[in-house]
Amino acid sequence: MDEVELRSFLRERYPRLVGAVALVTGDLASAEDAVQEAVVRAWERSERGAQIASLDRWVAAVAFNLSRTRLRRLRVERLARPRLAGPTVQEAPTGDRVDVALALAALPRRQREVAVLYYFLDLGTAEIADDMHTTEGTVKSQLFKARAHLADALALTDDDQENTHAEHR
Amino acid sequence: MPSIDDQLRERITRSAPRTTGAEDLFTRLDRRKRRRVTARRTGTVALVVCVLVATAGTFLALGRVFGPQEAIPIRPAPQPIENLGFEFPICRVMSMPITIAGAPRTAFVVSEATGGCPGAGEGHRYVGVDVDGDGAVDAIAELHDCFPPVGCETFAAPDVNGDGTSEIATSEAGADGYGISLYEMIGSPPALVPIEVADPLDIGNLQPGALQFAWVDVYAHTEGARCVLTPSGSALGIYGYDKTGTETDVRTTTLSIEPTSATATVTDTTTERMPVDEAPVPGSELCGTPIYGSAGNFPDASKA
Repeated sequence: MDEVELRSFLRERYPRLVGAVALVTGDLASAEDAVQEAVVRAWERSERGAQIASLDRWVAAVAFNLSRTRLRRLRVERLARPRLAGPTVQEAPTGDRVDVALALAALPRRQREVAVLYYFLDLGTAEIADDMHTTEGTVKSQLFKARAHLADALALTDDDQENTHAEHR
Repeated sequence: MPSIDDQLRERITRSAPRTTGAEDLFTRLDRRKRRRVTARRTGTVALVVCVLVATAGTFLALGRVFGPQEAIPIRPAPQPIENLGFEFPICRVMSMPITIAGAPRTAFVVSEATGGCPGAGEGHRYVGVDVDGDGAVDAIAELHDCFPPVGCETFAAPDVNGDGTSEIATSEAGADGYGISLYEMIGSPPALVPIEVADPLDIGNLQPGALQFAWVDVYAHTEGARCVLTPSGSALGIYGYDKTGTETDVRTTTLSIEPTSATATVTDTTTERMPVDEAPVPGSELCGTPIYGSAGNFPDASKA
């Protein structure tokens, strides 16, 4: 990974990865810190000659790991509401953003991560399973539960209510 | 109407917090990388110096003890107990001194070695206690949610309730601090079990289940724990507060730990306003016992 690649990554992919981690943690500042730390580690690895197949996925996985403790989750959930209007969030929080944030915050950590990886970073269930060191069946199960909760919390409906299972890729 | 998946995709994407990514982000990351390199080198040098000093000190002490005296008959060293008594091959062994019924003992945190040693935060990780001092663990418990790059470690062995037996604290590292779990030795034969939260008065804000608390001190927020004296004896006070002004409201939840049932009962919650400078901060000790593992360097600790 040379400087040009890294600058391109920071310009084009970094904001989206920060958004993904912030969706999980509810805290933009700590999400930026976790993603930056992950990028630095990827950079160091690259300089040592290690190959990283997908920088996006590697950085996302490491950033999630860095931000993941049960206690951290509790703290973030407790602080999520006031921090949504924090100074590092550029746009004023809208009602919809608060709704989505609260719906995500109510999910167990793993389900929240799976939902964000699937719906926000557009990863497939096999890729998520690979990154989370678990089976694809587990990911599908987590995704199903997350989807059901989010649909309920956000009052989502579609034409075919029977077809509420995640369409696994 | 779009499918639920499409609606979720659209609403989550629209709701994601946004960062601009500062213009000088590359420069800042470069500086951060250099700091990491410097910190690693400094740590390595410090470690080498410590080892050299300790080695020299040990030789000096041994020389004083054994030098002028008559030779002591050499006895064969006792055979090490295989795998410290764990029923599987182990690696990544950490240990810390504990006290059981007033006697010095040892607790270990190890990884199960299956076809090689798993990386930090990977594989199965266990905490074990040598109860009788024979060098082999007598009670173990599996640790969960040990994530790379640091994973679960020994943390501290405070005797919170003052019964002469340590509670065993383990840590899991996160981005800006640690999550701490507490274990208690109960029963005969001994079992090592997580201490569970009980809140009969429903006055605390702790989640039911295994007791956990944070060990965090970042720019805007602090959480930790310390022993507090209550009318019924020593107890654990878990505190937390924001640091957005010069004064803050320190929220403390007091838990009384019952040793025979491994239960931490919430007995009181308080909110006390005080200057931030006077608020408690997590440091290098818990209830007067030292912090072990990478958290021993807290707050500059949660780095791989």
